[in-house]
Amino acid sequence: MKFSNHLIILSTIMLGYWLDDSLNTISIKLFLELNFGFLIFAYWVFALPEKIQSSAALIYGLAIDLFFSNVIGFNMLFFTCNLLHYSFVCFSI
Amino acid sequence: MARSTPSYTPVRNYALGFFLSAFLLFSDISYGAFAPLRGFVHASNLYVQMVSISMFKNISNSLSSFQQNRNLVQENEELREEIHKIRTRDFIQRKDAEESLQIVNFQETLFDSLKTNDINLFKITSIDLRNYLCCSTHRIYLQNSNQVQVAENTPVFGGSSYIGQTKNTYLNFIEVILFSDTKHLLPIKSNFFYCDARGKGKPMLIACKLNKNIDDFQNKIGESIFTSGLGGIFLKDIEVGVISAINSISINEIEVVITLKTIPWKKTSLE
Repeated sequence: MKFSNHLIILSTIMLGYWLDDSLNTISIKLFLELNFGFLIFAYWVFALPEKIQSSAALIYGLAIDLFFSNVIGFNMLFFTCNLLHYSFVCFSI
Repeated sequence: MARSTPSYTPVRNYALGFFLSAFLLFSDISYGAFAPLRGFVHASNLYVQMVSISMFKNISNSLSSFQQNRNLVQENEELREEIHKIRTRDFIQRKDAEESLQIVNFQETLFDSLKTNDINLFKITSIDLRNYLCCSTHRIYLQNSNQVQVAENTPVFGGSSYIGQTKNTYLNFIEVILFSDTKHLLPIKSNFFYCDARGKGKPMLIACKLNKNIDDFQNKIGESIFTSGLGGIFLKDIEVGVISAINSISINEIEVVITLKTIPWKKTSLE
């Protein structure tokens, strides 16, 4: 997959996280935490299961951690584990 | 039934990714290894936001025909800030004067270092409201547009009481750790006890544990809590909050919960 395609995927995921950050300040009062960012990541994994590999999940996670998280490694771990789950459970041969 | 199959990626790669991210996570949580990097990225984000906001403001201002009105509003805002600055300086000087009457000899050196007329007023650039409302990390970022040199652990004033202390400086932004952050300890006192209160990780709440019986604390809810001045950072006898709850932990151990007086996003200044 081209680098520009990765950038598109990453920017859509970041848009989701930005949306989460904006909406959660309102929704958290109703004890509701939204996670559009991860939903978008899951969408891309389902849409392009043969294109998104473990390294991509790792780099997407790092970028999200840098911009939206309080610790480095949390989303990296989360994305890698979920990609592993999708690849070997949902899309296994 | 699967629609398609993925390209073959060995489990080794996933394991590598797993361990690498787990290692980064562990080192960041335990040792704060990437705190400067995160601070830098956060500060850069704030810069981008500020630049975009200022660009948007400039465009809207150029379209606006109410130039004079805008000047008046700005002047009004500057005057308000100036009044607030004078009030804060006056309040601290009054407290200093009260201190100097009571001070014992061995404390003189300590308080000399605290007495200062150098009060700076800062605007809050960012509040992590999501973490503030749900989690243990309670930080705010102040905009240091005049590039004032701010030392670490400088007390931060908001409204009529302290709200926290400086932690770090990233580019032109000052990171402030609030009292309610679980990593913050504040030496406090009341009329009948001294303790180090730790942030509860909940908005405007701090608490301290005491080896006392709950019966000794009957009817103490609502009593004022003051800074004890023992840490050498905050002036003593500044009211920070009131006792809002007393929970029994064991027979001879209680937790005193204190609700802070000031909302952190009131006007903020550094002493």
